[in-house]
Amino acid sequence: MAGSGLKEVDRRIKSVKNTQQITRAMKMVAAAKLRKAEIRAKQARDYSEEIRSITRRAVSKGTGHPLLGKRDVVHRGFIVITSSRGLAGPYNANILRHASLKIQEAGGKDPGVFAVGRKGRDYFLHRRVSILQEFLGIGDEPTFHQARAIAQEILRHFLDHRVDEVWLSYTKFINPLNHQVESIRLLPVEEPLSDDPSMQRSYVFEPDTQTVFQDLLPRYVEVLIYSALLESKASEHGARMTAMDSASKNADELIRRMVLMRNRLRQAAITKEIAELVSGAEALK
Amino acid sequence: MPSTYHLKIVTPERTIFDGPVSYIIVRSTEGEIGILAHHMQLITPLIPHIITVYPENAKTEQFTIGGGFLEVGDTSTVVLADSAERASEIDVARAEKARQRALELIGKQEPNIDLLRAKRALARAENRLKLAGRPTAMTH
Repeated sequence: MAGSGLKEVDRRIKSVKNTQQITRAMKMVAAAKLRKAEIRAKQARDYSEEIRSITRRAVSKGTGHPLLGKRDVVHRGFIVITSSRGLAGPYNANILRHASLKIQEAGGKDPGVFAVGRKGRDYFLHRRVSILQEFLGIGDEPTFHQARAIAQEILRHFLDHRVDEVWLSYTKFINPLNHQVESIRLLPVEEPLSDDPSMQRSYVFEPDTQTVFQDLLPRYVEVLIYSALLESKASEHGARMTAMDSASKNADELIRRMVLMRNRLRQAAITKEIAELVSGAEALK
Repeated sequence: MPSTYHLKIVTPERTIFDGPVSYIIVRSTEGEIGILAHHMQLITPLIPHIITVYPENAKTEQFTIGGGFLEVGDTSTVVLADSAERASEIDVARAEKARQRALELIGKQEPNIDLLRAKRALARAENRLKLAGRPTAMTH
């Protein structure tokens, strides 16, 4: 049975080629989505940076809003943004490791998670971390509407004193190959850096500080969540593209080796057949 | 002293205007305000309206603003808008639909609808139609 090993190898080559086609297609899809997500994330940066600096300057000039109030922290809430789908290389593992560490470091009683994306929900469910709320089905293009819905729930939890501090963990997009996991304190609203010269400005609030805060602070939370969603989404597509690219390259390498093996097997089979023929002819003489 | 200042109009989707201007007119919750260079430093919420911008060396521009904030700093002014469009970018059919929907909502007089939100939606739709050159009978 000279041909059986050969057939086995042929089958495996075909199977790897099929898989490679899938990984190649996924890479292309991820690349196309990445382009869109990257543009959206970059365009939103301007706005989020402006609102952050305005908010910082504004809170340095006034106090007394419930979203600014520092309390004795008993319960901490952590918003963790992950993807809903896998095959994105180390993307989800990185953010989840980072978030778990953050939760451990922070301590406090019974920390809770606001899980955005299925992967994070499953992870924390498995580890018996209490999940305050889950937000699934964000899709490939997060909208401001979705961010606002998340923000409203977070604000409600905070104002009802179910959590006393809220952290936001997400993946910041630097370029398609580089992403950085990051955590920021969302609530209470961060205090200004005192050495920033723009803090020295004296502002007039119209009609008054409270009215401005009433509008500005919830908006600030919404925008921070929105930009975190966009950054994470761009990072996810970047990570998936990289992962699928290396998977396709691995498949190439596998195929190369198996083709070599197949040729060697075929050569061996031919040699064997010739040897049999020759020895058969010899015997007839 | 320079007679112009830097204006930036940003929305969550994009930056729609970024450059030197000599004068802008915006509408805050307290009423209409014009801002020249060296204006008093100010932070105020904006209502949905049409903002008029007088750039340094170019034609006057107008944008619809769907509410937001204004921050006047010493050398630069920022408009943080929930949404912003030029006249050429307005989807008239969509704005018209939004106007009808808002009018219906307000007309129903049901207790569980968010009247404030419906009124803002109506104002946004009417501003869009107005700027796009399809004036409607203003209902407020």
